[in-house]
Amino acid sequence: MSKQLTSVWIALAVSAVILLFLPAVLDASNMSLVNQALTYAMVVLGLHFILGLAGQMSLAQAAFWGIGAYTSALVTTKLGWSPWLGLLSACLLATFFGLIVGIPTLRLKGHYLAMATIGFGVIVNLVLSNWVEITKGPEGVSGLPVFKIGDFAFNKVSNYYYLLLVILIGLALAAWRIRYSRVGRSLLAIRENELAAEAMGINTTYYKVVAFSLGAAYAGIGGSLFAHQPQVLYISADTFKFEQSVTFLAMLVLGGSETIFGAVFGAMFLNFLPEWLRGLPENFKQGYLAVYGAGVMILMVFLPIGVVGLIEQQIRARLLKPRPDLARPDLVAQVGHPARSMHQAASASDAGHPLPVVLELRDLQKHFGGIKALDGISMQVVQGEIHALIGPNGSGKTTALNVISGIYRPTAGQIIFNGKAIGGKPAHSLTGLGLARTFQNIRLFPELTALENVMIGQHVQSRTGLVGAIFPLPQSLAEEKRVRAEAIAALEFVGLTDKQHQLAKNLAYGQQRRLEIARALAAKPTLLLLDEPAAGMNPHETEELLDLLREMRARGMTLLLIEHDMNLVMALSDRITVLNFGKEIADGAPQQIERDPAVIEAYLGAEVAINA
Amino acid sequence: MDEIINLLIAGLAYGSVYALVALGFVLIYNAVGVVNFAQGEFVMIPSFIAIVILEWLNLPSPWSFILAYIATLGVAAVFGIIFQRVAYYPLRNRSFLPVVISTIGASILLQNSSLIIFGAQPRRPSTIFALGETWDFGSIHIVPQYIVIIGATLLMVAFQYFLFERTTLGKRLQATAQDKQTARLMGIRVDRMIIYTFIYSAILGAVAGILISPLIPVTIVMGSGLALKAFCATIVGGFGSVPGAILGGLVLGLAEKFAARYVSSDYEQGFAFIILIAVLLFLPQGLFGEKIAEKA
Repeated sequence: MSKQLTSVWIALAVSAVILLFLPAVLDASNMSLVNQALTYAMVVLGLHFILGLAGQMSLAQAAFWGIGAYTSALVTTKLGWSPWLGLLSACLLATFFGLIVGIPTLRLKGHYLAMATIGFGVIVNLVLSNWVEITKGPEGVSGLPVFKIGDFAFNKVSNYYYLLLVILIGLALAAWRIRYSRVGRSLLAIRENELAAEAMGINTTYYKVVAFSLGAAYAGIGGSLFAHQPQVLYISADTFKFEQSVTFLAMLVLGGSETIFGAVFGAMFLNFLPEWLRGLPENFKQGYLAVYGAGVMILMVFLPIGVVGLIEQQIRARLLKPRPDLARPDLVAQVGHPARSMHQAASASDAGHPLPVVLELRDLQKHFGGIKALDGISMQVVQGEIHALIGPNGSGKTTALNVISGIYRPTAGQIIFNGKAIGGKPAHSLTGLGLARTFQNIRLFPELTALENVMIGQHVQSRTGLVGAIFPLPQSLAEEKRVRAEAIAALEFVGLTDKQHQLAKNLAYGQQRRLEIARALAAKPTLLLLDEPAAGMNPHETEELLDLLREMRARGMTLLLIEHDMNLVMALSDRITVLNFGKEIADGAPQQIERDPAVIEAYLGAEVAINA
Repeated sequence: MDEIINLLIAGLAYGSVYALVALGFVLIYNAVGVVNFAQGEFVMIPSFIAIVILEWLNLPSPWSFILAYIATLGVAAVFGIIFQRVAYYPLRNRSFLPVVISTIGASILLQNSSLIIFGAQPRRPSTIFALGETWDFGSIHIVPQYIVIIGATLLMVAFQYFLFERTTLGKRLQATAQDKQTARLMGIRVDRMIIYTFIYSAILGAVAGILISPLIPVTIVMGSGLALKAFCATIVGGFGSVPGAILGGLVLGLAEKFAARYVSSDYEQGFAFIILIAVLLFLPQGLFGEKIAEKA
């Protein structure tokens, strides 16, 4: 192990010792601030799923926190349940409300969500203060019981600290495991590029709801534990206000929205800040939140990854350098190429039988208002062929691709893919059926590594859910291993093995194009749609791409591509369909298309066509 | 019947204020693609400024009002420039989320700085009409400030229509909002247009603040409450739509007043959000909606 890694371990060990003996060092009032910060850290950790991983804005965290606190307070005082049951019901009810708010709003864009969550927070606070019969309104709920194990009561600030610490560590571990699982990668994919995530088969609405519910669950737990602090045992509605949501946000951003330690650090730091500002004049003490505001603005400009985010980035950069085992050829050999399994199927059909049709369009139409972008297209894509879709600008090529891949709903007509009608199905549901695509303007997940990009491509080839993500079950561990190995194989196939730990945004342009292809291949598609794969490439990169696409065909994959580079199209395609003004005007082998008068007219104008 | 007329006028007056703030939201969103979460502070700060100037001038009315309001609009314009420079400009090339978080930070900073400067006591400006004064027509009691609000809002909307549709400056602002790149190629000074947009948005906020502050306690959170409802108004109207913002504001103001009277006054502050959630559920594009689909 390297020196740096040793120093990381030492740092962790030292902090563990400090954490263990903290109650011996600090007095009761400081300890109660620490305890409070630990409960905040849970809420902030919840927000980290929503904002840090899924990239969605939520300002309802204080509302879920309040729901948790009140649930726990009411079931323990009114129904006489034990605080443990209170904790459980707080978590469940907060999650339930997370679902109720999340499902309608998460279909919408970021700013709607942010505002809807604020609105939800306001409503929750109004209910807490006005529903006097249940919540006792402004008076609040008092006389909460303390947590007990057998006869041992967590009735002192110092022993409650250990309970909080254990729960927080458990929650942090779960968060960490989620981050490095299929679920975490799906959330990150949404943050990085929602459309590409959808194209990789990720049901983005579902995963946003997952993030939101996780956030609510953590907030509910934090709320319950906040309410049962031995020095408090009392709650009232004005604690759970919008301002507190903003404070949670500031805590998260300060530490770094993507990091787990950051959430804890931010909660600690900002909870102690008012104490440190105590010496200031009265007015300033009232307005100490101004420091949060300024801090948030400064962080966004100069340090968007947060304080702990920066430290983690430095550590990672040091640790990742010396690792000779990046390429593991033995593993690649074992797993083989992603497309190899289809090879046999293709060679079997070479024996003179009519080749099966993978994709068929029947009178496909797509209108935007009065514009008929697709005005009745019918075509067939035959298995194992490279089929090019060409046409002048505005002829409807990209629209066709977007309709086939489920980004647009067709206005009329049918899309038959492997014998199934898929027209109008959402994009994410098509990937699992064997349809993958790349985009004209590259849509990678820029802040994730090349390897993670390709692993996300395997979303539909894997199944791990939340439970498998949190707990190290044998099947989820095995699946994770398989996904990683196959992703490495796909990277090797496109020649990016040595780049696997680089962030996608740091790759060269041609490499990014190939990474996008690798990501699509990872979904093991039977049909791959390529939208101008050679756009912006230099001749050398185009040459490499040509070889790659031919290799894919040789392995039995079917390709449908849009391309403007006619040399590439003529050299590569088995069949070409030409579109103009949303209709197909020619269809056939490259040699036929080259001489077709209608095609020449479409590209060069009527006069040239006549003279030719 | 008379009660309905009373509610109608009150609803239109509050709705007008929401509409003004909503317009400020929409113009900035259209120009730079950012939802400005500090829009409420565009209302709160000028409200305090107007109070301070009025107290300081202490002239016999109506001169003090005219002077104070003009000075307030001037301060608001400067505030718009500074805000643009500090909260938006450094992040202009970043994605949606950092800018939103930055404007939230700006909102906290401005509210709490105001707390330090102006204190926590709610304030009330000296007003043209006495508190509680009404114009009575039988059992119809009209609060004169309501009429002032509705009239001033009509003037602002007319002014804005003239500005955007009848002047070349308006065309340049619109061009900037629609396509910055092309606008720049056409020789439009895009950065300057963006500054103008922030100035205008700040002035809209200041007008809203001046109009509403005789009716509600002027505190550091007055703006955020208004801004939240104004944002609901923009969604009800259809996000990004100028007529939608106006109509949404009026709809919300009316709905709030009627619901407070006939449903529950405890929850008056919550109805806007219930309408918001209903619209998100059943009419996600609002009355004049923006296109939600992203282009591949």
